[in-house]
Amino acid sequence: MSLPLRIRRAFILLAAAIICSASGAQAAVPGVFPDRILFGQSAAFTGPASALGEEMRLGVEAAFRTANERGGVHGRRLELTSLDDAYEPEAAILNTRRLIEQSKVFALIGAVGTPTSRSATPVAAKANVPYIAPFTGAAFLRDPKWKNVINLRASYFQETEEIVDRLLKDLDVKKIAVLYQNDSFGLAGYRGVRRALERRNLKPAVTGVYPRNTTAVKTALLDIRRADPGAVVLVGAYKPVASFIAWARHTGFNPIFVTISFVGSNALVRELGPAGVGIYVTQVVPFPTMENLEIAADYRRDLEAHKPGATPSFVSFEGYMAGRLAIRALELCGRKPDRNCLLKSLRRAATIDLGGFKLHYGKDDNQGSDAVFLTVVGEGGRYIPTKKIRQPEKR
Amino acid sequence: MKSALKSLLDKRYQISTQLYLSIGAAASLTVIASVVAWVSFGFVGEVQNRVNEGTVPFLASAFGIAQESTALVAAAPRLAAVVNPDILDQIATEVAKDQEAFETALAALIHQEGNEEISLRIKKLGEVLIENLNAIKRLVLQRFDLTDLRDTLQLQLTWVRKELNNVMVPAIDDQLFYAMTGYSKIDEAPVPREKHFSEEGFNLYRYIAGLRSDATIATQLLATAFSVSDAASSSRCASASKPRRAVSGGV
Repeated sequence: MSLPLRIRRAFILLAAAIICSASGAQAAVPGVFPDRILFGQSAAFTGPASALGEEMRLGVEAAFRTANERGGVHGRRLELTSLDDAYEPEAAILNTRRLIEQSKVFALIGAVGTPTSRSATPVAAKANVPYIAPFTGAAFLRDPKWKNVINLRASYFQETEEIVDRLLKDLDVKKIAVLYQNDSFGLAGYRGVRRALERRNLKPAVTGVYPRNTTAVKTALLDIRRADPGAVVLVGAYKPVASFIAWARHTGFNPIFVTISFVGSNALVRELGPAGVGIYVTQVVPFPTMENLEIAADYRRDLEAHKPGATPSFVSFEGYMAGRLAIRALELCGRKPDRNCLLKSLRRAATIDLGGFKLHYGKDDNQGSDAVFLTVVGEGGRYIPTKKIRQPEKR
Repeated sequence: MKSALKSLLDKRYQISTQLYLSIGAAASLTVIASVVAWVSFGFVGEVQNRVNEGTVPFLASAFGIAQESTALVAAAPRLAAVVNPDILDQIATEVAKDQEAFETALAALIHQEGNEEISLRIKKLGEVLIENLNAIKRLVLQRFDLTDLRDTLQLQLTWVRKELNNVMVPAIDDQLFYAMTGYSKIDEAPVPREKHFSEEGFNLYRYIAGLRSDATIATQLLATAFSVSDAASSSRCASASKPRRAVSGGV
């Protein structure tokens, strides 16, 4: 049974029209091409926070590489374009504009820092570009008004709450000082400590401030030393924090030093060497060397495949998780991904299981994980998981 | 009775004469009217030919020009408001099509006889319009170049400020720490108090702090140059290369 020629032609034309309209609609989503999806990253690749940007990029690339080797997500390869903002907010704005307007990326991923994210988020929000897994725990990014932001990690408030809780419960240290960077990141950490202390009717014993992107911490050291606190919470990047600890120890000032995840744990240990032993650091991702965690094993295998010989680190592990989160969201979107689908798919999903590390989002909850892990630097610069903070040994 | 009959016969002849005369007159009038009508129709036909072959094409060309010039005039603000080079290319392609249609309509008008004066005027005004559009396109491209340059300079300024901070802020910090404690290097013991806690040490601290303050003011002043609005930048561009003005209104 064959259809008349006229009807067959009509069918062919209809099919052609459907194909044309479908491909036209696809081309309308920026950064989504028939064979690839383009992501953008503005992070520090130079300056005192450069290790953080490099590690985040390394992690995201490792996750993307493995997905690409398996044929991509629904047949599309994932590509990452990274621009250096040197941890400067002005450069972050320009980079974000360039990535959105010129490179026409589908989404932004793995941004590094609070002041840079504070500058870049409104630019991304205006263009409704997803802002996935920035390397910051700043409270403002957890505000439900940012519909385009997807956080992976716990907040600085949760990290500082854990620090204060442990200092009081384990050692009854009430004289707690805060060293912080004089920007939105430093203030976020300082506010977290202050809030945690105020909940216990306490307040910071003393504060010291240093300028962002410098290692000028000695004036702050003079201020903090004077109050003789039992513990110092350090809210800064690895270089100034390392400089502060080194000078404090050199001048005979040895309180308990505790810092938060943004410091960049591996870079801190590299900077400090043996002087780093006994420093406590809160982490927001599990140990990258954990044997019984599927995503940690995947990470080590994919990192080795992407960059043979690279040392596993907390920061690149977070970058890897960011990459895996983006891949999961794209898988949920199906063959025709768009930005709204990417954002909604995560928020609608009950639980996102990234190989044993579970994330929970909600309608007004854009933060996937609340987990905080306390670690301490042991001999040889190895991080050791710990449940308690202990008094430092006399030096 | 006889006379009555004669009179009746005479009257008959009068009536027939009159009748013949009337018919003759009517026929003559008809012939004359036909001739007049024939002449008139010929004249009307000639006029109609003139209208069909001259006035209607002229009006059609004039309407065509009006339509295309309206499209070209409307393109000017669209061109001026373009925000990125891709959209500029897209609009420029559309403008080129409108311009081609305008030039075709203008050529058709010029080829018609008897409208030389008005055709030449329209041609001149059209040339001004097209030249202005090209000037707008040039200025928009210039604006993109300036925007790129501004972004580059802004990045360089950020870098300069960062470098200044990298050098001066730690220098101030180091000097104060040295003046207060006597420590200058991480692996060295402090110098005696009388050496570091001196007027000379504090003067050096004040000098570096003053230098940093001056450098900050200088970079801030430079940064204010970037806060000049787009409108102000555009007006500077416009004064540098002003588009021509039509002598008497637009097309």
